Amino acid sequence: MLFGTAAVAVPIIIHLLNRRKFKKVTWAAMKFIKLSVEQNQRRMQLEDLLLLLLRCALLALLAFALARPAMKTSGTDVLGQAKVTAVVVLDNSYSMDLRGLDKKSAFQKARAAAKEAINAMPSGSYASVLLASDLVQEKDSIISPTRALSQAHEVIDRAKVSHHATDLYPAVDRAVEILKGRAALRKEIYIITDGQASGWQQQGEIRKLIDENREDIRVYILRVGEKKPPANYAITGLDVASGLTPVNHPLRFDVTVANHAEQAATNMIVGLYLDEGKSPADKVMIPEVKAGATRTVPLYARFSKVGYHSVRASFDQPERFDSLEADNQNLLVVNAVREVRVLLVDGDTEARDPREHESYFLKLALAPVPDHYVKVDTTTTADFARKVLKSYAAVALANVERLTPTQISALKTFLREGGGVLVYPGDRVDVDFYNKELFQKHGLLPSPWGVAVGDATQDEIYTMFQSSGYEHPITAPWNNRDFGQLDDVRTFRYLKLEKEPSDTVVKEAGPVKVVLRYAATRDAEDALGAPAIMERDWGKGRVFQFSSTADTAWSDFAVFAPSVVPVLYRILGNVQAQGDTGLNLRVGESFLHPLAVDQPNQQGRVVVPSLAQTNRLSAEVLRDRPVLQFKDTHRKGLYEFQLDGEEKTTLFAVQPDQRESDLHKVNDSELPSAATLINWEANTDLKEQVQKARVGTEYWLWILLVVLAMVALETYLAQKFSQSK
Amino acid sequence: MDVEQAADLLDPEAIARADALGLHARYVVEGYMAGEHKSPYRGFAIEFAQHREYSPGDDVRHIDWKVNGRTDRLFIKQYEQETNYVANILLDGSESMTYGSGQHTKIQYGKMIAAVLSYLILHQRDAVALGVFDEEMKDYAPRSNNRATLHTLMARLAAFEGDQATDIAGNLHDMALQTRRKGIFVLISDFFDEEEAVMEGIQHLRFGGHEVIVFHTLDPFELEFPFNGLVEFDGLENIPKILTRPAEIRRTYQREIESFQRRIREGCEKNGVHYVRVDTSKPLASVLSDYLSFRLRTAKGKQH
Repeated sequence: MLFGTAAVAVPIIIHLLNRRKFKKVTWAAMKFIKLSVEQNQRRMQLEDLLLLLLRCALLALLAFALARPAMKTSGTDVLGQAKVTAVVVLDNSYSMDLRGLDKKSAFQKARAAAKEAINAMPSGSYASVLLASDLVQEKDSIISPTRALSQAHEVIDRAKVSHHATDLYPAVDRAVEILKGRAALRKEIYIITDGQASGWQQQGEIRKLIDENREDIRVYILRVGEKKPPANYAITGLDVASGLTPVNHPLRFDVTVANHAEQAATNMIVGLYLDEGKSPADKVMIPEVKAGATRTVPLYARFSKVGYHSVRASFDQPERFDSLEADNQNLLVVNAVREVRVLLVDGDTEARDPREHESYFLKLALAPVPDHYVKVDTTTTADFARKVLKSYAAVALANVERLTPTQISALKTFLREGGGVLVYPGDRVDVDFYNKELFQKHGLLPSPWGVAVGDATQDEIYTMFQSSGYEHPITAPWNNRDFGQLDDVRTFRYLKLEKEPSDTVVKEAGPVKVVLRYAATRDAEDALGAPAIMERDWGKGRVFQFSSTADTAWSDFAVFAPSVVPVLYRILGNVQAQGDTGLNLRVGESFLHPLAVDQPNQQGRVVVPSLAQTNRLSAEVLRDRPVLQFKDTHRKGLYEFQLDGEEKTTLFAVQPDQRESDLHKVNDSELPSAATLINWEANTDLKEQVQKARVGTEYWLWILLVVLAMVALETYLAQKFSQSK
Repeated sequence: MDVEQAADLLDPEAIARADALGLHARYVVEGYMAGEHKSPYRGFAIEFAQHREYSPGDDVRHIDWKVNGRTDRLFIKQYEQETNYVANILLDGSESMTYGSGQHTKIQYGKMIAAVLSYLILHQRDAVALGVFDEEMKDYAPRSNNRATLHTLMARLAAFEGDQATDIAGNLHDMALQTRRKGIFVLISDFFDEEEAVMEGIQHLRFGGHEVIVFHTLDPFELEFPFNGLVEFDGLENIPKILTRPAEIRRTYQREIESFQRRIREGCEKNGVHYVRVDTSKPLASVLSDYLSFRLRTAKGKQH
């Protein structure tokens, strides 16, 4: 548009052309004309110059007013509205399902607002629609801006609330990226959301993004739904507390309830339902949950059949007190087993009294009573090779000096197929062998054995386990003091374990995690204590490395039943569920089924019972391994997976993100100041507000007024100058 | 009587040949005479010469009643008009006189003035000498009181076409030197020349004892300057072109041309010269009759 400034040349050209176009008069009284011209020449030239400059300036200003910088803020219909390229970010996280007093969900209102935003655009505009929660649901969005606004309407009409949590940053980032690639005059982003605080968890990033592009992109936040969050209660946790899930035994499930309301909740009833049953297997009434607090309660159930089961914890008649459905229940898939077999390899069986054998207390902890569902076999290092490991769920190496290559190979096969290995140190252990062979070469151990800490003969000096801040799923229940405590155990001597990256490049060795730590000492290098138990995935199995002995030689952990039994059971349960870790997913997480290396072309299918929908899965390669992957886990609920040609059906559960349960709204002051906040109601005149902003500051109008004033001045001066003098 | 003779001399055919000049002259004079019972020439060249005894046929108006009262005889006053007075009509024929915005150019108008005056003067038996000049005397008809020369004068006037620059003063000096006998000089010009030199020329004539009458002939456009837009003025008499917007300098121009006229008029009055401003858009008859009646009044005044 700045080419318009070339119009400045117009008066000059007209001026020059005019000088070529004149009347000719033959004249006698030249003397007097000459005299008159001489008297007026200076003034006439000045006037001419003044008028010329005025006209040039006038056209230059007019061109400037019509050029882009001014157009950007001009929006009257007089000049015709400039086209808009807009991205509508439609929040479809599950909190949008919340219904207001008018029985309309926030999402219904959001859809209406989105349509209105599109309708408010001048014809010829382009629009994208992004369905956004914690990700952009590309399949149901229009990514590349379209001119067919009716298509945008259709996408909005079809849009459904997902079971995702909100985090608007990815969507805003995407919207900015889309608009940056467009050569449009006016770029706009409409973020249509309920204003839930969790959506703005990355508000700093969002603000930065909007601020960086504020010259170019105008952002509107259209807030829909209730201004004040209604009471919301959620079941945020469901966990098998007992660790192992044998059939025909009462199993303890820990259910965590959160109260996001402003008042304390009283007499809430929570039920536990097995296999999608109608009547609860167990029920509990929670007398009180304080405002903003959580409460974990135990419920019990028993499985009668071996195999996959679904466990659902849900509120009793939640519709009476809760308006958000998605978080009123929690789903878990578990694999019930008949028995759990464990092989103990004892490296110290020379004593005549079996109570002095290295594995004595371990065996007692695992199978405290006869005919227990945990079956324990004990063997010596020498006999270990003859055992068929396949029938065991786990193998424990207690103070075993060293292993033969055959034994290592057998362990590797065992792990590859999903077994669990527990490794205990002791005075017989050949530390160098373990470090070189098992850690370095085969990548089996999570950590090398380090220096010994403490003296076993000293009773007064000991180390305790950490008393809080349990991060590993195995120890996480102890964060709740009702569950019990681990910090009564005294450890006199241990080998230092370190969480350090191993330089082995064993493909099957997985990441290392700390299960349990010692309490942090005052002079500790970091605030965390030294690791007491570490684990690492190996193949489909998992290896647990203890820092102290299986017997009571270095620690009294083995005889401290309230601690050792649940820890070991949870470890075993963890090993057992190792093949099932992918069975309990969060919304949006992919379901992965690893394929055997010799079956890389195996296919499978996932059935979504709630949607009566079947999805075919083909093998793909992920991190160098063949897997079947199912990504479309956008809705909560139970899913069924089956390999082609196999009878067995695996269940997996998809659970919404619990963070979304907290309906607290973000404060206006925390929203990006560069964005325009509009509290959208059905009667909001969005068009007017948006257009007002499109008009912006009236500085183009000022230019036009100046131009008008100059036109008036020009006319006046031209008139005045042409008067005879 | 006079009128009929004039009509004979200025017959329409002769006039047609003479660029319709004579017709104008005849029309003017006839119109004038038709309106007035007194002959216009009465006030023109009047210089008392002697008394003569009345004989029948003489104009009774010329009887000197004072002498009759004293002597009881009839004498008439005789004037020296036939022999003593010569009217020298000098017409500026320079190129600047060829300008004309309307029906007539200034020179055409000037020719008409010259023709009419010649007609009148010849008809009162005075002598007329007619000269047309620019830088020099271009066409000079020596004095004659023969009425028959009128036609020749008309033809010569009509034939003249100006295309030269002017030198009024030089011509006046020449005339002053050449004309010994006192007479009347009629100068018809736009005076677009050196004003002071022109005045000196006029003074020279006055020193020679001549009576001088100036007909300052200007076109109405030259007075009003009514042009608009961008105009290129192409100067007559080899003056460079000027491109300007006349509307913007009109007032200055009018001021200048007025002061020019005023200077000429004042210069004339100072030297006892009759100044007549002639606007070529005005009818010639009214211009001349106005002047002639004025002249009669002043001549009467002189007699008393």
